[in-house]
Amino acid sequence: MGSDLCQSEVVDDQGAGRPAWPGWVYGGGQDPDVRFSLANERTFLAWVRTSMALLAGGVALDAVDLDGPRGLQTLLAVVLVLLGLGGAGIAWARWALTQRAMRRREPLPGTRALAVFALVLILVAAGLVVLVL
Amino acid sequence: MSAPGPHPPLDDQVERTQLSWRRTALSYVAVALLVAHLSADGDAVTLLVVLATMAVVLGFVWLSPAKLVALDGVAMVAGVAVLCVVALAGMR
Repeated sequence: MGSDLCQSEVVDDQGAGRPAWPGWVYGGGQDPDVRFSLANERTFLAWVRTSMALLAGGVALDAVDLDGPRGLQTLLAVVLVLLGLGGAGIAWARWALTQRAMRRREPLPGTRALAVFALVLILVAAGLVVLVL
Repeated sequence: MSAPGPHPPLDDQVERTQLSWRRTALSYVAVALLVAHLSADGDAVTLLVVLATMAVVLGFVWLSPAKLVALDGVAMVAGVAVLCVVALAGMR
């Protein structure tokens, strides 16, 4: 597939074999440079991997026995798992919104979700410090 | 060997993206097995759900001949959601 794509300098989504689903993403505008689409795809996957790491962290935190209060430990584990769940959903939405914006030559969506993630993770980290110390 | 242009070669981009999908799929397998081990706690039904979800996600992400980004993405996110539900249900 890759060698075919290199025949031209700029190859669109259709040239890369992308289907036009969902319609609200692919319905308007023009296909962007496929490099940008691929970069958007990799960013989505990085978000998914981050979400899975949070999920794994939550499950592992629930499984270990720490000296701190059990309620706090369970709460932090639940928050981590919920962050993982939310992060995966946000990842897809962010991919779709970015793809849509690129097609329509509009400004890319912001990274507000990243700031919220960071804030919650700071709180979780503070809770973990309380648990461990 | 030619000097690199202003943009990275497209072949590299496609390969990096394919590897990224596979890396994510392998990560999913690892997390699914962790959740199955720690959260299923011997419950056969939960274990079956996790393994079936893992098979579906791998089928979509790794084995699909034509990469349907949105659909594969939905499958991956749904797979993560199932694992999250199993993890929450199995918490002590």
